[in-house]
Amino acid sequence: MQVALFGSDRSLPLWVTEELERMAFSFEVVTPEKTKALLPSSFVVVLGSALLTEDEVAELALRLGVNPLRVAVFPYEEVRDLPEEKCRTLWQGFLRSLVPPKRDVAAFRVTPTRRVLLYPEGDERLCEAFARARIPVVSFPSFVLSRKGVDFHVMPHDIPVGACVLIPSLQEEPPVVLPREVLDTGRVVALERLPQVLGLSSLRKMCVVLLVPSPHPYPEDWERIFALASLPPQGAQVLVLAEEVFVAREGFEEAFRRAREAGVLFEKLPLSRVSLSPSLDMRRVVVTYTPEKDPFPVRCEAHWLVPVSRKTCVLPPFDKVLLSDREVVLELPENPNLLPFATNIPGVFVAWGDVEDLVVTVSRYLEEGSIQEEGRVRVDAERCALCLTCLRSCPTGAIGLSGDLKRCIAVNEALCARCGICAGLCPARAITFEVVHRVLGNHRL
Amino acid sequence: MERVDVLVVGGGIAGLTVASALQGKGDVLLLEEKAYLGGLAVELSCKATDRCLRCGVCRATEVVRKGRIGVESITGESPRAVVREKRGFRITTDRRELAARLIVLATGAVPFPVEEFPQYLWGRRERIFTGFELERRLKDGNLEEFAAFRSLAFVQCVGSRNARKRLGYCSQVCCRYALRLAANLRFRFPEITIDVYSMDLQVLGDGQEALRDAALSVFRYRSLPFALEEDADGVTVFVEVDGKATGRRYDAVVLSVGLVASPGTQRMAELFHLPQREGGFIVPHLWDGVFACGTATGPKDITSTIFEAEKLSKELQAFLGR
Repeated sequence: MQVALFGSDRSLPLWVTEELERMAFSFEVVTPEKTKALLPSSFVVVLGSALLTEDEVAELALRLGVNPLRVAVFPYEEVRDLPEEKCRTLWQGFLRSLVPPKRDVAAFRVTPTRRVLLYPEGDERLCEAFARARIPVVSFPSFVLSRKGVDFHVMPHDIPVGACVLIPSLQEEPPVVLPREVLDTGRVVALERLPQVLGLSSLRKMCVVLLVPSPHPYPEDWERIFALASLPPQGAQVLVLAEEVFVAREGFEEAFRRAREAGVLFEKLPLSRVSLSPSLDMRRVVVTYTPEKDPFPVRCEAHWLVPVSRKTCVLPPFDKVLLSDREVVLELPENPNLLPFATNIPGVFVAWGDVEDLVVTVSRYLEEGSIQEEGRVRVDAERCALCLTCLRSCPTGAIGLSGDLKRCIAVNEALCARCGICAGLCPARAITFEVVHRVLGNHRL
Repeated sequence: MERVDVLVVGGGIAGLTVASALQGKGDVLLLEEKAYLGGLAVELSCKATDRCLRCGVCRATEVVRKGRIGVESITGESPRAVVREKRGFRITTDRRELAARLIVLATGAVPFPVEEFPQYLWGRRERIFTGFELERRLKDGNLEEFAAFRSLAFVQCVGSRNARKRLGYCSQVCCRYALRLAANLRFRFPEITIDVYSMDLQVLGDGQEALRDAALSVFRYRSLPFALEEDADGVTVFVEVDGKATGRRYDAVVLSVGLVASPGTQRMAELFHLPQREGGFIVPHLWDGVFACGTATGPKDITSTIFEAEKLSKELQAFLGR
């Protein structure tokens, strides 16, 4: 029998090759790059880790163009540090367990349509970023979605889209409750408008006070705040009241230092210690606060008060749009394997954070697709409740338990007669004989 | 001499992500100095309590696991000399000669060597841990002595945000791992009280909500201690309160050390004549054909490292297509 040893370790220990020769296997070593011309009758033995999942094995089979049943994983990484005798025994046992499969299983890749739906209608920055990655973008004022395989279909236009990007709306609220009288002074201005407002007046002896909520990890706002370093040299006084200063970004710590050196005062305190009132002539805002370090209140009269708004993301009502026979619940999952933009529904992403990162995530999802296998019994480990109905009903005794932890059933392909009794009886519907969409990019459901 | 399209230097998650993403697009070879792939990220531990705190370590493990079967790599070697040729580079490593069209430097970062802060290491150093030491203990399940501790202090910004030491940058990971470790320790040992000495808490990125909850469960002091002294049954943390030096007693102290460029990054900077920034980090895109990504270009968490590597591999694909 032919064996192709697959692994990136080039110097194999002696026991691997010796045992192969002793058991009259002819073998060759293949590496991830050089994988051409494998005999169809050969086995592929992956010298990898026991942690390799079925999906990864299927992907490997697809890449090598062999029957997935002929790919077997030997837990080389875990075993190689054991004493040599032990390794030999394990390796012998493993080689004996290689049985030629009875059936042909085909692995193939299904990729979603390369088109993205933006919901609600997208902003320009997002459209540009997708255009740069050459991913077509569509958006409609009103539509419903239905799922067909890995794709979504936009009804009634009947356009297939591979992924759907939800654009959250930012809800802004002031960091502290601003009293009516303070607003009446007309001296409250948004951070975005501050440069325009200041451009109109002389900066000498001008006092600007900023209130920044905590936490406020919005780099654009902090860039604007650090840019106020240009004001103190022109005679203005800038006071930033914030609980935490955001510096965890490239160059921000330096900008923060420059701003302090230029004369911008940063006072770190909870905003609950700040009280606001209008001045007597109603032309300024009196800001009174008690610093954290000493107990004496500080009072200053601000010509301009800049409350930096607290922002919260609100997702669009996607559950109203997706047609399904089950209730659609869109949530940001606890599953750590999902990247920050992904949601619990495969193919649905949320556009927050860095636009480029989002485009990378979506384009990888669209390119990677999922690997399907036809003609192989699939067991969904998440669904399997280990009731063992299948084990009792199997006429050929092909069902056993898998893995060290025995948390899921396993089907022995060499014994399975493909009668389908187990799939019909399984109360959790964990066993399938059809092509199922299992893995979608980085998603595991 | 072996000829490849892309030579990736460094087998951490950045290098492995680039190398796996370029599989099938060209010949890719990965060089790793150590005997194993995975770099700094495989030494870290999952910090989940009863909920996932999204530290990203499992994501790194996934990258490493996929990389181990999907990437052709040579371990135990690193570039020693580089010659620029007409089309690409000729690299001499410890044992072989290689020719590569493009080079990706993903040589990574290391925890700040805490020995450079001698004022934090008075005494026996049995109850003063660095954050990375605590991670390793958590990973090995070696936390028995913490069960006896009743109070614990985290000292932030050790080796970062320090312009005097030429480390005037925020390491971006330390606040977050400290809060996650604090949440994990409080989950395991509910009697423990945790104080955090910090300048600003940088709670941002993936899993912010969980981190905010963690930040609420600890006491925070807005000052950094100027000295720590360890004796037989505890550590005294000296801080300035109202202009006076005050000592507070804790059972143990964790120093949240930042990231500095790894010795490998420093060596590559010399080898390729790349300018370095504070902390020894290198600037990407400097030479035609030499790229850098991951923590070699600046401190980053696991998720941003993977994203940066993915973006770079998209660029490289365009190069290879030409």
